[in-house]
Amino acid sequence: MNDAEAGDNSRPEAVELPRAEVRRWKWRFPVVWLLPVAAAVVAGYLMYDSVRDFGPLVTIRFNEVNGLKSKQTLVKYRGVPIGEVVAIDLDADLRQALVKVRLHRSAAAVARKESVFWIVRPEVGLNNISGLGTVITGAEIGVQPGGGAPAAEFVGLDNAPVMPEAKGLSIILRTRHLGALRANAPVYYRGIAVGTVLDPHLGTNATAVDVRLLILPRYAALVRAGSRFWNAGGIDVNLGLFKGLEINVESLGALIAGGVAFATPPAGAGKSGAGPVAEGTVFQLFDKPEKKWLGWAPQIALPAEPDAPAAVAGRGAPDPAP
Amino acid sequence: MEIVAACRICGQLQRVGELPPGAASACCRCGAGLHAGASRGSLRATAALSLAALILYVPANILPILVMDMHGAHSESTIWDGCTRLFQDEQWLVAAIVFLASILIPLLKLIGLFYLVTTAGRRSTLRQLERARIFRLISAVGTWAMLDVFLMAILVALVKLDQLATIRPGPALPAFAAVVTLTILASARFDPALIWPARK
Repeated sequence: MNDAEAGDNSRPEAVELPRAEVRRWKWRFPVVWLLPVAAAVVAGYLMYDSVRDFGPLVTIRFNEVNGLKSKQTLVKYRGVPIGEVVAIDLDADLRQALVKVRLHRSAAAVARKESVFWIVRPEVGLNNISGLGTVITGAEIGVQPGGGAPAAEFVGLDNAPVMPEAKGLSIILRTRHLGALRANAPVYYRGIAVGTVLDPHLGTNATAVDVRLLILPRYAALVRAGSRFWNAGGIDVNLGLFKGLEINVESLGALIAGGVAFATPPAGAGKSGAGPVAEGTVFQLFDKPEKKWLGWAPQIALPAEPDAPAAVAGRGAPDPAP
Repeated sequence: MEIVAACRICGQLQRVGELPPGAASACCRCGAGLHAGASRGSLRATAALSLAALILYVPANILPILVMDMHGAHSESTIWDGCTRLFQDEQWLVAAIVFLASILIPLLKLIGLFYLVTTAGRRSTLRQLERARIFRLISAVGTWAMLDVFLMAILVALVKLDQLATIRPGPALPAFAAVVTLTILASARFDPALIWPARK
């Protein structure tokens, strides 16, 4: 189709103008419309990907929310982020703060009535230092999932609840005076910490102090009806004419924050039953142990430790008689 | 109907005949594509590209464009968040630039392209001079359109040098880059000669 005179433009009227080439597409169909279709697919996928993780939206009431920032503060459980704060507002009467949290879909089971939310802040106490990471990263919201019906509104605590992992045997000790015993103090059996002291409070009629203990599930079998509990905190000093000075300290932790120890009589001795006690059984808290209790050494089978390959089933082989 | 057209690249005058659908004409001397005569194809391409850009404009603005992890604190922000944040920090000029370059101008370009396509498709003879000017403006502005993406790339590279903080582009960045690219392609594909339809 090229004309020999194609390059000469100076006298267009003198030459016959060449004809342009014609190129055909392979397809008759306008393929360019595939582009908006592809764009819609990509856009749809991007949007879907970002909302795929969305779980339920819950509202938590707090008294104050210093350190929380919308779209930045995370909700964490066992160190894993399971949600994010999306909005912070005051409620209608300006008395409390409402924090809206979007949970991940995988953590939707956390939004149940008995779950407890609190703000994790650095805590430095005598027995307990925690949450120091939040000094750098900013506050976060912790959660203790509970059961119950699904819920969307919660009342948040200002501090972590005492003993967040509330699984185990719960019993009550009654004493006339709390002394140096504090929440989070350890409970000892033969010197091993097997539980924790929860919140102490005044009993009904304000005549005694009720202290709740939580015994770890593995050691729940150690507590029987005849078990005796005593206050193991502080120092026990005895000065005797013949024995001299005798100082007893259960542990450094017990020295500072107090503690409770207990001993269980062997089966058949006295009025102790052979099985573990029911939840909420009330025991008396003694100030000092009697010598007799320290000699008790019943054989109680404990469930195997989760990590130990060969389980140690029994405890307390009979001591030589005191 | 035959017309005479000059090649954009080499200037060769040549006759262009009626084209069957799906065909395009090429310069007989240098082989460059001649727009004249391919009216339907050009409009269709421009419309399709503009539509694709408009569709992707939505995730580009809704999804986060910047994800920042600083000292363990995590934060995501969209283009609009960045704008309001700059505004609140009293950086009026930068906020205005981000708003214009990332939100307003791409939208105006797309609206302009749709307007040009529909009027050229209807072979309208109204306001032809203004439309030609609009087209030249769109093409000129197009050279600056990638500025935002470039800025984000530099920011990410700079901040990665600091051990304590990492900035990652969010999912909106590829969407935004696609919007800008498609807009540039759409305006390049538009044949301004269609603003001046030949008389039948």
